Amino acid sequence: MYEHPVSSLDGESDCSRMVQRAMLQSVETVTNPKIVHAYLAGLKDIERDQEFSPYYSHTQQLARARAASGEGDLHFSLRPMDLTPEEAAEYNQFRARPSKLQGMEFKRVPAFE
Amino acid sequence: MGLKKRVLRRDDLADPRVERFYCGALKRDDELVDYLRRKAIEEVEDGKTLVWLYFDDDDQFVGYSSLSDTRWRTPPPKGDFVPLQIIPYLAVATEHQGNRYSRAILGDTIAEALERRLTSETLGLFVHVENAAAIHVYSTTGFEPFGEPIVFSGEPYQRMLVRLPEPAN
Repeated sequence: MYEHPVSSLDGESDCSRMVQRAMLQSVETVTNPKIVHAYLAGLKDIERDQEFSPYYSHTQQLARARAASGEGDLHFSLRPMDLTPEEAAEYNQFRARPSKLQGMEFKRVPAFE
Repeated sequence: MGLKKRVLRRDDLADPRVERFYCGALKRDDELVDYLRRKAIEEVEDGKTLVWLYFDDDDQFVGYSSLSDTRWRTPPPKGDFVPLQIIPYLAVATEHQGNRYSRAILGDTIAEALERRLTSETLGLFVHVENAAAIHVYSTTGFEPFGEPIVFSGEPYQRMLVRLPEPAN
C-alpha cells in the first residue's frame, strides 16, 4: 500500500497554512499515489492563483484529483469554469439584460425537521 | 398537492424511501440517484452544497434539489471571477413526475437562491441536451441557454442561466 510521505508536506513552504492543513486532513485517507500526485498538482494551481479559495475545499480538491487521475468522477457543479472569450461576451450581454424573474413570485416549500 | 422539505441528513441514506429513489432509466438519471445516495451528504456536511428532500402530504419522498456556489472566469486566463449559484442536481421520482412537483421544487430552490442573492446575481444549472421536458420547465421559468453544450461524464449538458432580480423594497 502506498503511504504518502506526510513529512514532505512541511517542505511546501509556498502553501498557505490553510492549504497545508487541508492537505494533511485529506492525505490521511488517500492511499492511491495517482490521486496524491494529482492532488498536489492541483494545489500548485491554487498557488498560481495566489489565493486559497473556499471553492477549493480539501474535499473538492480531492475530488478534482480523483477525477484527474481517472480514479473517480468529478462533481462538476463546484468546479470553477473558464469561459472562452465568446462566452465571456455572451455572459456580459446576459448580465446587461433585465432579470426574467422580475415580478415573479416563488412559493417557498415549508421546512420541517 | 402539498410539499414539505428538510435538509438531507446522513441517516436519510438508510431511509428506504431514499434507498428506493428512482427517477428514470437513462444514464443521466443514474447520475441523479448516485449523487443523492453517495455524494450529496459529504457536500452537505462540508458546507458547500445545500440539499433538500421533498415529501408530500403522505410522507412519500417526492424528490430532491440542491444549491451550491461556483465561479466562472471571464475570460481566461486573467479575467475576473464571477460568482454564480448553481443548482447541481434536481430530481423527481418517476411515480411523482407529471404532477408539477418539479416546478414546485424548482420554485422553492429559486426562492432559496434569492435569499442568497448577495453572494451572486446569477443562478445556473446544467441540463442534458436531450431532456426536453426539463428544458421546457427551466425555459418557462426564465432560464435561458448559455454557450455551447459541454460534456460531463461523457454526456452533453446545456448550461442555462437566469439573473436573480434585486429584492423589491
